[in-house]
Formats: sequence, C-alpha cells, structure tokens
Amino acid sequence: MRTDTPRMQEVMIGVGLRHAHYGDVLADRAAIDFIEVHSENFFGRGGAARAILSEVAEQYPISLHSTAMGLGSDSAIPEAYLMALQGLVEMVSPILVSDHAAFTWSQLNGLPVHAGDLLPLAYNEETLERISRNIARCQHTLDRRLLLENVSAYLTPANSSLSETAFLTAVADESGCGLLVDLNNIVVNARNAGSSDVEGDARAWLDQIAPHHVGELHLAGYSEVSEGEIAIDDHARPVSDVVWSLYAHALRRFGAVPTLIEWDNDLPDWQVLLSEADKARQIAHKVLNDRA
Amino acid sequence: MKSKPMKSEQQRLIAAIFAGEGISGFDPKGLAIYQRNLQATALRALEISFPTVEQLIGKDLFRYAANRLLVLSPPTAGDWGTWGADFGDLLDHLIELEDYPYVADGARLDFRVHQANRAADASVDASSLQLLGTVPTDRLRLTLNDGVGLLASDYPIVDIWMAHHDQRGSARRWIDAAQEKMTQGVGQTALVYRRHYHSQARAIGSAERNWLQSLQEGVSLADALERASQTGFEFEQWLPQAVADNLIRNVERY
Repeated sequence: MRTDTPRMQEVMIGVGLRHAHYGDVLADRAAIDFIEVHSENFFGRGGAARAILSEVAEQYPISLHSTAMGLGSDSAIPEAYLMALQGLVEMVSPILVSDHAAFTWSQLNGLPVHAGDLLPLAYNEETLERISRNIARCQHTLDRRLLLENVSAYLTPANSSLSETAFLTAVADESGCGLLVDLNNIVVNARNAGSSDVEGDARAWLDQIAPHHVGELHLAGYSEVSEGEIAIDDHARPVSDVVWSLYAHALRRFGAVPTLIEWDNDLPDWQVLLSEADKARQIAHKVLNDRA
Repeated sequence: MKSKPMKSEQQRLIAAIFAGEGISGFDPKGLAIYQRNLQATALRALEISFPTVEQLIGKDLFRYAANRLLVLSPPTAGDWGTWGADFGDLLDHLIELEDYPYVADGARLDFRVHQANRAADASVDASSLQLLGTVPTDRLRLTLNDGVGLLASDYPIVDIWMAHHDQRGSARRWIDAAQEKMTQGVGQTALVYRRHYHSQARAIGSAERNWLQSLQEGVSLADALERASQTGFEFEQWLPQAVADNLIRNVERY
C-alpha cells in the first residue's frame, strides 16, 4: 500500500515588468516565481535601466522576451542585435528566452529597415525554412533553446499553404525551439476571423499543438471593440474570462507549464497585477492537482 | 532565376505600412492597425529620447515631426532607443520651425543626453592617474568615458535645455539667460556627461572645448597640453572637477 503523500504539481507564475512598476518590484519580494522583461528595453550598454534589471535579477528569475528579433524575416537577423541579446543573456542568466513568429527586418527603398512591429507571416515552406534557419542561428549564438510565440495578426498574408498550428509545429520540429502559446492571441485571431465559437475554436487550436513543444503560456486581456471592428491584442485589460477558461484547458493538455500574466498598456497597480498572478496560481493548482 | 515571393511580399507590406496610406492588395482596416501601431511606437520612442524638443514645439508638431522622421529616416535597429540621430537635421528643415532655429540643436543635445544615459557604466580608473606623476606626458593619453559628448551651437542650447530640466525650480532664470544670449547672438557649447545614472549638460568655454576635442582625437597628453597652453587652459584646476563629473575613464600609456 502506498503511504507517501502524492507530490503536488505547481506551475511557475510570472508577471511582465514595465517601467511604472520598477519601484514596486524592488520594494518587497512578491509571491511570484519569475519576472519577464522585454529584452530590447535593456539593450543600452549601461545606465539606470540595466542597473534596475540587474537588481531585479538578484531577487527573481528572469524571462527575456524579445519583440524585435523578427525571426520570420526573409533577411538574416543582424549580428548587432544578436550580440546585444547575448550580452543580456549573460547578464541575467534567464530561465526562458522567447520571441515571436513574425517578421520585422526588410528593405525599404533599397535600404535596411526595422518595422518595429510583429508583422504576420505567410505559413508556407519558404517561410518555414527561413524562420528555422534564423532560430537555429539564434539558438546557436545564445547556446539555449528559444521559445516561439504565436502572434495576433491583423492581415492575412497571401501564399499560406499551412495552418498556423501546422506551421508552428513544423518550426519546432525543424529548429528544436519550443513554443510559447499566447492564449489571448488565439482568442483575438479567432474573434477577428469572425468565429461563432471563439472558445471552441481556440480549444481546437490548442489541441493541435503537441504538449512536448510547449514551454510557456501567456495570459492577457484585450480591449473589446464594436462589431465589425478588428480587436487588437493591446494587453490593456485584465485576463478575460475566455482566456481563464482556456488556461484550464491548456494546463490539462500541456501540464505544469510556466505561465505569465501580460499587461503592457493602461497599467494597473502592481497589486492588481499580482492578484492576477495569484488567480493563475489557484487555477493551475486546482487543475493540475485535481487531475493528479 | 528563382523568384523570391517571401522577400517581395514582406517588402511590399513594409512599404505599405511606412507609406501611411491605403495600398491595394491589403485589407485597409488591418493595414491601418499596423500603420497606427508604428506611428504610436515611434512617437513614444521619440518622447523618451527628445523630451526637451517635445516641450519646445508642442505635442501636435512633435507628432508630425515623428511621422516625417519615420519616412525620411526609418529605424534600422530593433532598439528604438537608438533611433533619432537624424531628428535634428529633420527639424532644421521644417518650415514650421523657421523662426525657431535653435530647436534642431536642442534635439541634438537631447539625443546626446539620451545616449549618455545608455552608455556603458564607467568610473575613473583612479590608479591610472598615478601615471601622471611618473611617466612623461608625451607617452601618456587621457581617455574620456563613453557618455561624454560635446555639442557646439550658435544658440544658447544649454540654457534652453536647463530651463526644462533644472530640478531646483530655476526655469525662469535659465529662460532669461537664454533670451539675453539670443538677443546678443551668443551661442554655447554643451558638455554632456553622466554621474552615476544621471546624465547632465553644462556650458563650457572655448578653452575647455578645445582641450576635450584634443582628448577625443586621441593625441598624447603632451600634445593636448601644448595646444591648451595657447588658450589659457589650466589642467591642474580642470582635473579634480573632471574626476568628480566622471569625465575621465583613465590615463594610459601612449
């Protein structure tokens, strides 16, 4: 007869750190397991921002989330960008490093340009080959696995021959990267595609992703817009009810995956952000341990 | 020759976004979202890098200038903090600023201060200063920290900058000083430097400017002192303040 207590499964819960909360995060050790920062905000070689990051990294594990690497760009990622990211990786020894399935580097009037946004990809063999090559180079430079996040897309590029989930799966298989599954982005895309069952379609999306590929989950909210308008993944609201529901589904499918609360605009008080993290922790505890 | 649909499609979308107008082949609503995102992100970035300029010209003109910069000098790095080196040149040619020619140099000063804020952390290698008493000056060179910058202007740019950044409530005094210099046609050379994590700007005279330029050129200390001797520059007086202002990285063998 088994006498030991079954081991409880817990999920690492983190929050995104933005400038307005720098003082709060350093004032008291919060009940969170990691802090995510946007890598490019700390690309300066020195100064106050890097000093704060260094202090935060002494108190919390760090996740470096890039928004500008443009892994799906037809051109290679500039060496200067990779060197800056590598320097940051060496500085904070992050537990996770991630960016998006998007492009941003290109040419404009014959000159190099960075688009400053997460631009949508055509899901086809050519893009698959290019993004896999860019990810492989990045992983080689950083000497670690990268997580690739699904994005909200407001345009549908021509020339797609694969579904988004088939494309992401193929990239993960080809490059060895993991996937960062952003539940809010799935919801926003389903809504903008005119889905009559957003949650059902989002669940189906999750069911097409193999659990072994998933390395992190992002939870966020978005501002509702009127009928006929395109919803934007603005991270300006609390996590929505549909995303909380999807989170439970994702945990049942993917297991105890590190989870992040994202809130980038119209920032709430730090305590509100922490209460969202606490809610995620409670859901994860219930889902995973009921299942166990 | 193999066609490049991916490259051309990506270039086409980027051209449409930067054009800031509807282009056939893209859903106008979706394209407009990316166009608005780009303009909003660019504006936020320039507001951080050019706070004085925004106060000088107001939000509406600043937003217009930011959109112009996106077209004329689009970003080329993934770090918005490095974007804007050409903002001063753009402001130089804005018809709306024809009567405010000092704004462009104000932008150049803002940008130098911003870059100083991001420069590598550095403090003087105090032990290297001992070389000053033991090694002939023609075999020494004095190097400045990365954040140190000079900007010469025909306008009182330091007084104008201080009117917006002096924390001691002395804005009126700086504005009066700037107006007096403008009336007299007197310009200023700004020295930008960083103590701890706070970048600062102060006006310097021609003797210190020439001295610092010599150091930036990397000439030997003997040559720099020789040049400075013709301007009345006093190295012994300058050195302690330069250390306090964190201007010096080290003294090294030449």
